[in-house]
Amino acid sequence: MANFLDLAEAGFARLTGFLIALVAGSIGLFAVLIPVNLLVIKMQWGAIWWLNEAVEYALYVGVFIGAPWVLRQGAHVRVDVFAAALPARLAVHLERLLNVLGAALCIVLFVYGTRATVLEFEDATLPDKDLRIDNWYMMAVFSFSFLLLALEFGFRLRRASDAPSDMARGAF
Amino acid sequence: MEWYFALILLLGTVCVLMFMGLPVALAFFAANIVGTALFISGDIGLVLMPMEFHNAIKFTLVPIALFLLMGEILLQTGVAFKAIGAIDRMIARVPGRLAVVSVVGGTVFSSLSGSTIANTAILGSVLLPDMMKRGYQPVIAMGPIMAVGGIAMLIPPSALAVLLASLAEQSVAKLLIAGIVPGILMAILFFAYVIGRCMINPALAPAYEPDDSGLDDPVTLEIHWRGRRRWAGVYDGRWKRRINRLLPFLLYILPLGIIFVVVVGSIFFKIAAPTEAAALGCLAALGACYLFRLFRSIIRISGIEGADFTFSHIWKALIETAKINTMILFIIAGSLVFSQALSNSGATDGLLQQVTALNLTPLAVVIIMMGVLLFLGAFMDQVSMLLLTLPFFLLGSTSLQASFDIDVIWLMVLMLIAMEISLLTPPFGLLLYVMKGVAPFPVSLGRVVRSALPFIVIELAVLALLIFVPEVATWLPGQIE
Repeated sequence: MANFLDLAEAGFARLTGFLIALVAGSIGLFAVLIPVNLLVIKMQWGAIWWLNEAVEYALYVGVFIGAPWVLRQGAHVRVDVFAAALPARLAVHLERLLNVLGAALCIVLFVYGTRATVLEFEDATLPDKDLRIDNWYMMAVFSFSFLLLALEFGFRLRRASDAPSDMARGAF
Repeated sequence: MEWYFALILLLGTVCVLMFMGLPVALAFFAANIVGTALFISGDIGLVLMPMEFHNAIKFTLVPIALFLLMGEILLQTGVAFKAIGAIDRMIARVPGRLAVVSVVGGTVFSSLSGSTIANTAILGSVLLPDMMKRGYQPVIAMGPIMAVGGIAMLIPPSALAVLLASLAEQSVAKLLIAGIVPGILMAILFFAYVIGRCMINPALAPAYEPDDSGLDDPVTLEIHWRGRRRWAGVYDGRWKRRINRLLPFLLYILPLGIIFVVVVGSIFFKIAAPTEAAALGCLAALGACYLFRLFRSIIRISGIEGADFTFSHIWKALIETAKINTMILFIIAGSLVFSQALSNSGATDGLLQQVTALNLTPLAVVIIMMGVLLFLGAFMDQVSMLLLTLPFFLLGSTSLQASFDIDVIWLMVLMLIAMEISLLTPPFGLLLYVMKGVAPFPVSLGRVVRSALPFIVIELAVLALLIFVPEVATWLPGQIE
């Protein structure tokens, strides 16, 4: 079982690493395409009409698919001054509680995200934009993100159980 | 439900979860679930809530990622460090020389990075060990580095300014331009304080002979192509000492100055919108890095090392940008429905009506707002405090800004300065901990706070000046019109 979970976690790490690489690549692409569009406009050659909305979509998708990797890195902003002041044993318990709470919260958001995806798919709704991508795709991204976040909270809980002393030192 | 119960419930949910240590974004998401379930059409509201997050991520938020990328490119390729080295070489004999270098270098670097924490961490790790080696007292060594880190919030490109203006649905360009004069004013005051204090008490920063090695060497210029020297020139005349001193400035700082000109100039002269200016800034930063690489491979000049980097450094810059950008925008996504829930519950209107009923003057309201920010900043990070207070301060027609008819650009500059000060205020000012972390010697938090104290006073003086003389902030953006 432990072996399976190790494999699952390694696969999860690779998946989130791949997703953040996509986000990084998309930011690099904005940095090139936006000046190109400016040049095209200034030279009166027309415009890349879909660019602004494509960037908006990419930014939205990037935030949600990047969030699980950021959580894995422990880089989401946290106000941990009070937790840091607690004795080590209490800090470990608090961290476990937070992981359970985080997972529960993400599961609730995953459920509502999935219901939103189904609703948007059934209604075949489209955004009020020129570059139209069915809303259900965007909702599916939201849902997928919170599923991954819930899984990461689960892995964090497991890591904390495996190495509580590391956790007390703030390694997580 | 009475408005104050709704306010306590929503703010309480965020604050309790935040202070327990849950990621701030998720604390907002939790409050959204509570708020949407109770105040925005229950279950169906919760099903529709994810769509609101999609609508929240707007094109106006793109400059945050691009300004972050610009700074990261300069950091990861090592070009930013070269710039600080060039400033170090150019400043000769002044009292508290290295502290002055940190103020000047920090101001230049902040105009390139836009990241307060990066600014403090880099200056702290580059300059602090040298200062301690030369007998500088920690009070004069750490203070300027922390204080100048905050200038990054004001001088464009400031990611936080972009965030503030975007969320408040105000002109990003005007806010970026409005930060320039207060930022420079603050840098000048820091500069004057450091020199004045070191003149009064020279023991704080013992004078020493700067490293002048190489200044008397002949100036050489070589052109290499395909591994072979194609041309070489040598100057060994009477100006060689001055040329050797100025060359690093000309070759390391001026190209970086072009980045600032590209970003600020294109916004000021309305050639480009802030998003386009930020993207141009990224290309200019990349161009500057490749120019620096030429100095290593093709154009070899004595005393100029150039920079050596590969695509992996650029990739690392992109990954770091993706990380910080995701971190910030995830909180924004989390806080979006929060302000809607506050509004629908009647909490926003209820609180604002209470404040309006006090018959305060706009000035008193501004001072109260700054007080709230300074208080919150002592406990939480800048993005979180911004998102907690915006629904009351700036958003909508019933906000304090709209109710009291306060100039919005002026108010946003004041908010940036208050947030900058709060980074240095104990017990939890972020820069205090960054400095404690990068200091190359064991130092108590009390000592770090004491070294920041004079700079907090200076920043409070600038805040007071701006409150009573708004033109300091509003004059330059007024020129855009």
